[in-house]
Amino acid sequence: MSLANVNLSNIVIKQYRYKMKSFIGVFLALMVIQVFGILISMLGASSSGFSNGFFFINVTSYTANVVIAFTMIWAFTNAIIVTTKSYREDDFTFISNRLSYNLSNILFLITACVIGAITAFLSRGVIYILVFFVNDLETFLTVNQEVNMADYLIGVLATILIVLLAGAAGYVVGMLFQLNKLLIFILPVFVFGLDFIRTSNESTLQRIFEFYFTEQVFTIFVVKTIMTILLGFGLAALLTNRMEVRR
Amino acid sequence: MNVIECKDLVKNYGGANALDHLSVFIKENTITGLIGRNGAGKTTLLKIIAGFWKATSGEVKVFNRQPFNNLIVSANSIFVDDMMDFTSALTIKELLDEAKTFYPNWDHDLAEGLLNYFEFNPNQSHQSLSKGKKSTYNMIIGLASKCALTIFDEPTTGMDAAVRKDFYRALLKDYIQSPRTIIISSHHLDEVEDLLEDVLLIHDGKTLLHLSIEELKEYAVKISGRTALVMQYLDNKEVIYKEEINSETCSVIVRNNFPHESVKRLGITVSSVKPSDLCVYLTSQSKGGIDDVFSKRESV
Repeated sequence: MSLANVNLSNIVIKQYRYKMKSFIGVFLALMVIQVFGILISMLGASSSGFSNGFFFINVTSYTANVVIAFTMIWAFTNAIIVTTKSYREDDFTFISNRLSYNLSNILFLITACVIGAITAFLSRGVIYILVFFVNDLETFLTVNQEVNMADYLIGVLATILIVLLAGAAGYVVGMLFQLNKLLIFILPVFVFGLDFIRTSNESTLQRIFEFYFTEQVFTIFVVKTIMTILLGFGLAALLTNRMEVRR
Repeated sequence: MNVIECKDLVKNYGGANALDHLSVFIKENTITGLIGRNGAGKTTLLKIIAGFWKATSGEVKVFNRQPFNNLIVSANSIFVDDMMDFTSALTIKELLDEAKTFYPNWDHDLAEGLLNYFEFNPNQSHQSLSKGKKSTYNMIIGLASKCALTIFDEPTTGMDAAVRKDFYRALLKDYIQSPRTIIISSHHLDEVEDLLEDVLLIHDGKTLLHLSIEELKEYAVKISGRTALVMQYLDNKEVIYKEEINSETCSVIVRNNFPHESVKRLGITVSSVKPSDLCVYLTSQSKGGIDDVFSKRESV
């Protein structure tokens, strides 16, 4: 019997398609968590009131930030779940090596995160509409004058990148757990330990967050996040390239 | 051509050597039975061949390539056992369609035919199958994938007698139709005996024997007769196992490398040894049999 020839990209695409069908639970979880996020967002992000004696004005602002934060948590936890044994074994039942396994996982996570980020971004419109109908408001203000298409695109792209950042972080963390189960205890200690390491009046953990989330220049933010995401995925693939499967 | 070449393979697993300088060559288009006791290293060897595990030292080549992380080896081999994992999001029918997209030589008619014959409900998920049904389903995947190297690790776990018989028959028919290299590991040699061309017997992580089934049948004989006579005769013989010894009569398993006539003339009977029994004798520990454990207890 002559040997069948296969190439990497072909197998990666097959594994990716298999994952899109079999990891359907990931998208169900996304729906649940975003609906929950939308309901919480309807309570209002911030509220302030002032009065001049005759009138009392109460201003409540609504944003989709909670939905986006929830989506980040979803991306992080789902990336961890994808690295677990039962998901891994599914791949190695059929044709796979560790590289194709990692690449198809990464492709899947990127797809899931892009979908999650876009729906999270669009949930703002849903929140506005729901608030408009459900809450008894006298005046409903939206910003629509100065926001153009480019601003929306930047918003979508930024949301995609931060959700992906959470996904990549989850993937690295999950793979570390797979390499050594002790890291499940050590890693959280290490991360929260960073909170106590202070060089100035800010903790290291705080500064890591600020490095990404307080960046004012969009292009620098894009470069920072994309580099980090690539580094994370690359690290995870490298770490698991010698991993034994079907134990 | 050798499909599998292992030289001096060592695998350290849990502090002990599961494989201990094992060397073996397996020819193309043969059905080999991998026989050994529990913990002999059968699964370890097969998982290294399949590229799942990495050998601690030594050399392993499958289709002339290192199997670990090799996509060509993965595409041309399949490892079937009762621990195969399939997604629960798809039905067993849909899983066949998925397998079809992966394996280049996949035989969909065969897969569907077998699924039908073994009366599966195509809408079930793999998780909801019973143990025997799972094994049967995994076997279907293994056969239909028609991989140049097909590995069955204890394939009949949980199958009932009828299904086991059908399985062996299906395997043989399929092998004749499309010859390929098949390895079946089992503790039950007598069950797979009629199917095998070669037998690879491993013990304590080493190759003990690698013979054709015909050679194995001729490998040893049992000589039995009056103890005094037999003992005298044993001097220059390669003794494999002493079965029953008492003052009156005894029977001993020895290598079959002597003319039987001269022995028979002495009043000693020479009989053949079943390959499955021989494998048990060859791998028995030198602690006596299980009976000793009980006889010692009784005497205390």
